[in-house]
Amino acid sequence: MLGDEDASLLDIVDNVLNKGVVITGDITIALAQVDLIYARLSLLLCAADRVLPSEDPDPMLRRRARRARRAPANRGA
Amino acid sequence: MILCLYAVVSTPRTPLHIGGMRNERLTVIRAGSISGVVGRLARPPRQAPRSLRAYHEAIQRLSDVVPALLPARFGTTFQSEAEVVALLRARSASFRPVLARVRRRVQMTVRFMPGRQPLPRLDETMSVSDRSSGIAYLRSRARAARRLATWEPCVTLSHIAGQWIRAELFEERHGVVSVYHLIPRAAAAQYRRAVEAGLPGARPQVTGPFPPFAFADPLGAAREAWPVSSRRRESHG
Repeated sequence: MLGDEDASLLDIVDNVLNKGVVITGDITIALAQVDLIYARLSLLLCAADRVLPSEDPDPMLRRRARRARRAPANRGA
Repeated sequence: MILCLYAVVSTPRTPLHIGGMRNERLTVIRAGSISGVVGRLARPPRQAPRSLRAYHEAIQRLSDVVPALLPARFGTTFQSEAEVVALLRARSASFRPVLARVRRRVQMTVRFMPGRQPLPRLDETMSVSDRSSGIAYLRSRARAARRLATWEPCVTLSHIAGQWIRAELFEERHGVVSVYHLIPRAAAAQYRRAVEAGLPGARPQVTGPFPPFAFADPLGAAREAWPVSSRRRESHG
């Protein structure tokens, strides 16, 4: 069973980490104390279903969303 | 100095007087109708419990003064204001509808803990069962979330709080079932009372109100509220 303190930490971890974190870093490649290449890296760590689009589980809303996506294309045609 | 992005918000009309995770002053970078709220830090935040707590508190403070915000991923940093503006401009079309969805709404989290009270057994299809490939995992996870919505305590919860629920998400991990509800900000106290009184046997843990962390995904992980009648059809189908 979780106490209040643990529960609040669980919420923080859940809220902040559930959608992933970004880790940034710099790399400098140098030769004879001359900087030749500088690269800034951003690494996104998260579950795949947080960055991939997902469909609505309700079939009716799913159909409605598909119609809405098709509508602008039909208007443009 | 780097810019740490805390949240994307509807452009506020007045300046913010709020501190960030290291007590730095938060500033607003405007890009039309949406803005980024940033803090200037000497180095990127570390992935440590103290930083996570401070970040969470900063987002909470921000949420108290702006009507709509989308929390950024922890550790999102930029080198310049121009980079922030470029991001906001490039993605404003996807940010705007999500900001509209969370406007004046908050997230409530309800957890059902195994061992707290006897709860109906979770069907094996309510957990992620197939991890054989990335696609299989995602399909299994989506199927598990749909099945969880038909789990008796979740159905009862939706009946009890249905009048306030604007969107919902379900998740199961290690036997703990988490339900995230997006509800009107003004209804948080009523929601808590109703859930705690309506599910006395299940004794769920209700926390919140929080900024809409679970509903801030512009790509659509958050779903509109799913009518109970549809869940029953899917459950039997």
